[in-house]
Amino acid sequence: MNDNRREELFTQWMAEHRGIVVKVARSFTSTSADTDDLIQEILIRLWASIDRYRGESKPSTWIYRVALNRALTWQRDTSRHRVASPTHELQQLEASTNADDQYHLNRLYEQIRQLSKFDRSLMLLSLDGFSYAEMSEITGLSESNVGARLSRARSTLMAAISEDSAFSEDSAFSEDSA
Amino acid sequence: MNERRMNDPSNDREPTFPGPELTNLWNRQETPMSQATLPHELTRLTSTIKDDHRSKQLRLAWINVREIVPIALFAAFFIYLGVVDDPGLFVSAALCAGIGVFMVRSSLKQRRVEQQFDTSSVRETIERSLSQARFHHWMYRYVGIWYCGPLGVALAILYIGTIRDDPNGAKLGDIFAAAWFIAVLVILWLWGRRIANNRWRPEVERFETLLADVENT
Repeated sequence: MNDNRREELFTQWMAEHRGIVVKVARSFTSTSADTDDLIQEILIRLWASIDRYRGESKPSTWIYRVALNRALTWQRDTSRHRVASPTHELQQLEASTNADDQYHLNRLYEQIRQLSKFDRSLMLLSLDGFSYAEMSEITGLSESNVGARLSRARSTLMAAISEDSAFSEDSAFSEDSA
Repeated sequence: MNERRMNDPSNDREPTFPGPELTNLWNRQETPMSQATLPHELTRLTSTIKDDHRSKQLRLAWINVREIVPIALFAAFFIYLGVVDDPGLFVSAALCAGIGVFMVRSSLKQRRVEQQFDTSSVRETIERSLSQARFHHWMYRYVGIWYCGPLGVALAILYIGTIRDDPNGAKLGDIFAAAWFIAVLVILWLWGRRIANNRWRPEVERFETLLADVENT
């Protein structure tokens, strides 16, 4: 694949699916510096993976797979010299949400981070509407195993959310509006 | 979200999980950006990532060079000694060259495997990462032996040569040289053990835990 085509595809992926990278990075890190590092790592891997993309799966499936693989195996390396941070650029790309949403999203991510790493992966895919078949393709588990794991993870997450005052005290998330 | 829905046994297959409020909140993270700003920012992002990727490739190349250069220097040193002093030292040079070839081959193999990491399934990636971490742990744990082997053989050949030529010819300088060699080997061995235990053992354990979590279905 020539450089122009690669750039074109990467730009197109970022225009349409940049949110996946941020969501995965936020779910696997707890400080903004670590989130920055992980975003950078995922984007570099995505860039390198473009040559192997044959269009057999949806771009969002491909991006999720690359992002989750990197996030699950990523470990902060304090000795590493950071060459440049794409975070500024990515933050520019992220439309701002209002303060109330930000607060609830932060709480939601905090609860997601309480799940085991693998359950987190399934939960993100579930929240983004992926089917069991797609989750099975991304994770390498059978569909029935995906279903069983996801069911447990959902129960855990829902229990945590129901106990979280950020959600239980907010009328938008209360029983009446559900 | 509420307790009643949470405790519902049919909740496992509830199509509306996690409920409209959280789904809306989740989806509001991504709002289409102004078309006027987007192309400019995407160009900047792509350019940054290209630079980062290039820097990372250079850094990996430098790490490979750093690992291979010492053994290559040893090989050259023993070839030189083999020519000017004792042809038996070609054995040490051959051992060093063998280790160098092994390291180059394993680096290349690892790079090929790493390229597949990104696009394999999550489970395969974790399995491969575990196998890679185990290999690194093994290699650093025994790095002293990699280097000790050729140096020890060289030392033995030098001493055997000296004693064969002149049974009374062992000098103080030879003893210092031997002590220096042994000190280098001990430092190498300790350095390798430290990296194996502090860096790669925890990595092996981390991936074992991760794989156990994946298999816990």
